[in-house]
Amino acid sequence: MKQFMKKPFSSTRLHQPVTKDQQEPARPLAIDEIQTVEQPALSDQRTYKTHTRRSTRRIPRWARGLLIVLTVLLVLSGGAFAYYEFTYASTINDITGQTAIRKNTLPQTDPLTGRTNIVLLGSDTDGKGNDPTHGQPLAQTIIILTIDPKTDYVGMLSIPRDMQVTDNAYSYLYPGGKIDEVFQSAWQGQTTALKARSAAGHIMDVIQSNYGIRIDHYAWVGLQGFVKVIDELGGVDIDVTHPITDDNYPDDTGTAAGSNAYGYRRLYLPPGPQHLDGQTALEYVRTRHADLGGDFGRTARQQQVLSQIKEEATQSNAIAKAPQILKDLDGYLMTDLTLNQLASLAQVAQSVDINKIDRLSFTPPTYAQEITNGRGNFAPLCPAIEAKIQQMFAAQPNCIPQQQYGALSPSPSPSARATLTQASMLNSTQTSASDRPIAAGDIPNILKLLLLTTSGSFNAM
Amino acid sequence: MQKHHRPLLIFICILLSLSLQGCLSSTNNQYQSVTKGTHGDIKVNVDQAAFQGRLYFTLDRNLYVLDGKDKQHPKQLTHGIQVRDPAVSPNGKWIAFTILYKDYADLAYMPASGGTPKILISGKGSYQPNGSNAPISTAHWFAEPSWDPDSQHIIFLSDLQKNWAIGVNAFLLDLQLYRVDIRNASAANAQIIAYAVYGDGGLRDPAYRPGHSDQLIYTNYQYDSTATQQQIQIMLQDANIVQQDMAQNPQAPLYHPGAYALGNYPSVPLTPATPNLMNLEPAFSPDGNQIIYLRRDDATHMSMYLMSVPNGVTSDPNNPAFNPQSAANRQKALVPYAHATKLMTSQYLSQPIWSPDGSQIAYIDYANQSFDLWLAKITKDPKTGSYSIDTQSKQQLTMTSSGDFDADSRPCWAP
Repeated sequence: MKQFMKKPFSSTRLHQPVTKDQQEPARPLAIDEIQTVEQPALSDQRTYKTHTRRSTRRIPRWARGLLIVLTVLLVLSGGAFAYYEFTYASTINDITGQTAIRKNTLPQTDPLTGRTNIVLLGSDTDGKGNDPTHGQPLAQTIIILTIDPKTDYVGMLSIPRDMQVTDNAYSYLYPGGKIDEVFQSAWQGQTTALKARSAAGHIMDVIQSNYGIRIDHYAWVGLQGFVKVIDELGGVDIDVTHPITDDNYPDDTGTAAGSNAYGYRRLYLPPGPQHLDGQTALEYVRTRHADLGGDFGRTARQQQVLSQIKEEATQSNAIAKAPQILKDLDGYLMTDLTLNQLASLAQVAQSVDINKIDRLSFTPPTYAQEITNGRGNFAPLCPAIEAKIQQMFAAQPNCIPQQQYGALSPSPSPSARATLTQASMLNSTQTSASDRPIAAGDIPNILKLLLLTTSGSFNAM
Repeated sequence: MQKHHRPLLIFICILLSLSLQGCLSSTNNQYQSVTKGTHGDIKVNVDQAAFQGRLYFTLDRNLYVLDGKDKQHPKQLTHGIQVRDPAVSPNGKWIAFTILYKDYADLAYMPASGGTPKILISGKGSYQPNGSNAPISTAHWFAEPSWDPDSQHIIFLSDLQKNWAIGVNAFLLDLQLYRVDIRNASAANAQIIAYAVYGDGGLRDPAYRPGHSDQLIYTNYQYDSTATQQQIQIMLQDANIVQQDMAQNPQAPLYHPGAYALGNYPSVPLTPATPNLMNLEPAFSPDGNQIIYLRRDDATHMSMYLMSVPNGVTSDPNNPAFNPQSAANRQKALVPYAHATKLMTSQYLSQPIWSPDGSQIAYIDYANQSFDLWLAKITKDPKTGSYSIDTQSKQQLTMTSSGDFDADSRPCWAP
């Protein structure tokens, strides 16, 4: 409310033109004769003047408010994007789009439209000369996932780690090498990423040359990464379906203390609802000995853990841990699949009937026989293998028979490395750039890839 | 006028927030921190959740006893060892349990009030070469000891006789049920008293039937004939029949383990043999006439049930030709199941046990992403004889986090 000061009219009369007739004799006015004109107070005068100036700009208040809000949103979203990219992008780029280093470049395949073969590789990385940074891990699990989106066919082929293969790159070092050693021998480079890309690329080439199976992509996991992620989530709460026993579980994660020369350990998990830490969860999804349900039983357990990971990953405190989870995986999970290709794979998985997945392992007695060379190698039974390759991969097979080498071949040591095109491997820094900004579904897809590669179960996707 | 309203509004908001804070905190006031776990405080409901006697359980693999008269001061009975499955003897003097190591376990016991554990049987072993096959381990597991009524013998689960190949030709790693005298315990002296079916982990939850020292109950785990579905049943068995059979038929015992129907078992199912039907973890009432047990309803629900125990289905002292496996006997044993009463349902339930006076039960439930011990009153309608849980009496006794309460370890309730 404006306060008006009554300001006496100037005793000096307003100068008005007066006619001769209107002229009055000049005399001082009495105080009550002085006309008063209500004028605004000084501050109000300023407001009055400002109001006058503002009204000339013609910007309504609502528009000004909207401009402010939009500006704030722009600043916040830009900051959030910068934070997100800074926090997640580099790690996700370390995990995805890591092109395998191979002899020849193959055309890219799209899991949504064409037959795609992906090799899933799992390595022990517990530090017994096999940590990803300073050691040379073996590939204990080698599973080839083949997807034909036109027929909805999905097959999963396991190649036993002890399968003897022909590897021209390293044959002069030790004839009679196993396929897990192929991966190890090619684990070379200046960085962990280069080593993994080199090893993955080489084993992809060896599979192709030994069996005639074209491998389009790879995904590799160091098992310690799985343990870290579960522990970062605070563990998982699971209803263990039945007691788990295993006298020959691979002792390939955790500390070296208490390990034996055979590299095995024993497991007993009691049944019922309970809390599992990362190590125990890994045992739960991997163990398969002494379970009459075999791979089917293991698949059911893997599905349990995956469901629980998904649920716990969506909890509010877990979302806050997402950067740390990705950091835990950095150096322990790697694939040449881009984010888009990973999303395609997840999309294909939605339409797959898991009960119709064709699972096979090239194990004795049908597909392999033991070579008595003291190394526990298996030799492929090529006729049976070729028939199966043709059926599973719709490809022209080419199985290379294996000889029995009489002399005990030395195990590969870190020093016994082939300098196979070192220039090409060490200097190769080409990776597939991240094909788009990170989307909300990418982190869950990465977790699915982790479980797929760890468990060897397509149900994980 | 509007100037005066603003301070009043702020004052009202403060009052409301304080009131709300008070409401929120009042629900936790009855929980008092009594010790520390790996992931935070271990709290006990000291004001409510009343009970008589002593509850034994493990936290972070340490054995604790909680006295109903002094809930604020649980006593830690073990330190530095990984303990599971405490069991107090009927005379209250001893407590048996297992000690876990990386590749084996020990069966041990000590005074119920605490002390130095005495190892009854050690499961320590090593890997031995096995030709071109994977090496064989001589180590053993032990689990879930339970006492004979005489407080001098213990029954327990173990893989002591793995590789035992009578009638079968396969690796048997599944845990079976044994009995040993604590005064002269050794692996060699342990007697097998119940067999497991191959390939699904073996037996669990063994206990003598109170008032019937010749009867045992346990959960039998096995796959169905397609090897894809679980078929988990509660079994009642004569405690002496296997040893009697071995004594009578040393060269070719009638009963032996195997896979699916290849084995021959003297146990009598109290729950149906249906694929994907899972009834488990039975616990006898103090008088031995009822059991509470659990059933998996689906992937996210479990229920607790109560049913009466059939009599005369494991043996007949007046009939030497009694066959527990006869169709008529099996049918008789299943009758109470059809009249079982559902007591409660939750996402996860496990390890139910009765109070010594039969008025309460303790069980492990899952709430706020944590497993904890709960109590509830169980009542019997004098007119109908039916049992039910007093819903209002359900109280969370412990409050822990992230697995500090060992849900895989069977607790024990002593007077």
